[in-house]
Amino acid sequence: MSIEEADVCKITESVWSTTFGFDITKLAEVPAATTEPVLTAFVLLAGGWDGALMIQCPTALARRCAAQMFDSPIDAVTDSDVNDALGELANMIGGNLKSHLPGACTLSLPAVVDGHDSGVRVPGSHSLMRMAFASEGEVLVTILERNTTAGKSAA
Amino acid sequence: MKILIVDDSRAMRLIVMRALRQAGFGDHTLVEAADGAEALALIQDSAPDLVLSDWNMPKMSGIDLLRALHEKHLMVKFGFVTSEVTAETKQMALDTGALFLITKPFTVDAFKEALTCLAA
Repeated sequence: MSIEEADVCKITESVWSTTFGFDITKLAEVPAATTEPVLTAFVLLAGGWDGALMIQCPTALARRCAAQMFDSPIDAVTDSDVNDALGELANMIGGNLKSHLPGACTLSLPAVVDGHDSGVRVPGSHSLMRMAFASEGEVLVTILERNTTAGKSAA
Repeated sequence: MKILIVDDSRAMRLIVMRALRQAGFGDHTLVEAADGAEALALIQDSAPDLVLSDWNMPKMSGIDLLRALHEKHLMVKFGFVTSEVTAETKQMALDTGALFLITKPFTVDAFKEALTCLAA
């Protein structure tokens, strides 16, 4: 069994629309990075399939998502709330992804970092797929990285 | 009925409580814990009727919480609310004594179905 881009796309869209109540639309291409502030949430997968699932989200969009999840005005949402909400989003997408991966995997707790995905690197991994989605005029990027060197010691 | 919601995400605890209210369980007492260890202490102190627990959490996972409850002979109805959706996970949950597993993201109907069956 191998993971297909269509699976990741379907999971991302489903998690997003069920959690936030509005749809996202997959873009044909991933736009070039901007200077807009971005948060990256990720979970690590280990076991039968090793890698990472990352969600790169403009900070303004992440704040709106957190407000929706907390049912709170945007102004009342704290940075901690935003990290919590975006981390949970990565957790849900990563968790749902597990059933599409070969072999038993464990899922790490989510983590969130401030900055473009250049701030997050999983040693030994390469980008397997990268897709962009539009939501409320902003672009969310889902990245799946695979580590094919996990468990292999250096000679 | 007292329902304990266990999740390390405060956002998710709020979403679960909102779903419970929308599913018609808003008049029950809803209490929260941020991980399995906190939940275990709360269950020992206040004996909830139902535990709705996440799977992956710091300090003590949901499945370890369920095992600890068995070891301590603390009998409480237990269901998972988790993004862990593999067949192996579901089987492990049921084999360990969970009554149901609600998959994140969920709909209000998922809570109606699971909890109405319990109340019946």
